[in-house]
Amino acid sequence: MALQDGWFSDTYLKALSNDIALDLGDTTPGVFKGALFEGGVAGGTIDFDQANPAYGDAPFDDDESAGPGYTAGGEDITVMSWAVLVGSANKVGWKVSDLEWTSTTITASGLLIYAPSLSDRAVLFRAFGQAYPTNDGDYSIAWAADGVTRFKLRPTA
Amino acid sequence: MPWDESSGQTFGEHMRGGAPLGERTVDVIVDEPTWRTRDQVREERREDGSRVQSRQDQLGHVVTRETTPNGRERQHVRINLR
Repeated sequence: MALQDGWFSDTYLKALSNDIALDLGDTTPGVFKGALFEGGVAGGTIDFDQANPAYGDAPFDDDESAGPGYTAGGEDITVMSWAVLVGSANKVGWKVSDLEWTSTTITASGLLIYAPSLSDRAVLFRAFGQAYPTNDGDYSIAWAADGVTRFKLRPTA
Repeated sequence: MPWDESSGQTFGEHMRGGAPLGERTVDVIVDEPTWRTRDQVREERREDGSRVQSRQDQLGHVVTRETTPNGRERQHVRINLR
């Protein structure tokens, strides 16, 4: 099965239960990081219900992209906003800065966003749909206008 | 993302993005098919002599192959997540 997008339910539940201090609105660069992974991570099927998912712990201790231009652990993410989306009542979005790695020779199939200050706790995973390799080139990730992830808080606005 | 039979979702639920039955979630194309249904390829030669081919696939991601003036082959990737 191909990689899929998803929030890690353990992180989501613990954040809303105030068991972990996950602050999606913290705009300090590096509060979150994005790490690239190849398609073989978790055997291609991520268990989004796993307990305490974290970068560096199984299955995210293997199959991270590697090669020139990429350092293990990925790049700092800067949160732009965590708010109701303009023009979309009852819909909140998490917007972060675009990511770019320059002069890379790597292959990646997805991005893991995690929080270094929370024992590298994994927040969510975004799948690219297939493997995309670079060759001495730039690897950039751009987000949709409504951000990395968004929640519709009412069925109808 | 293609429908996965083993995901537990029906095909209908997958097409609706998990939305309840009856909620309109998919835009129906009422016009003729367009070239937008194929990969979009653009080729150019830059002023510095490098040749560039950019291909945007059906997932919206762009792979750019570049041949520099001194013959070096480079490949760039831009992931456009929705």
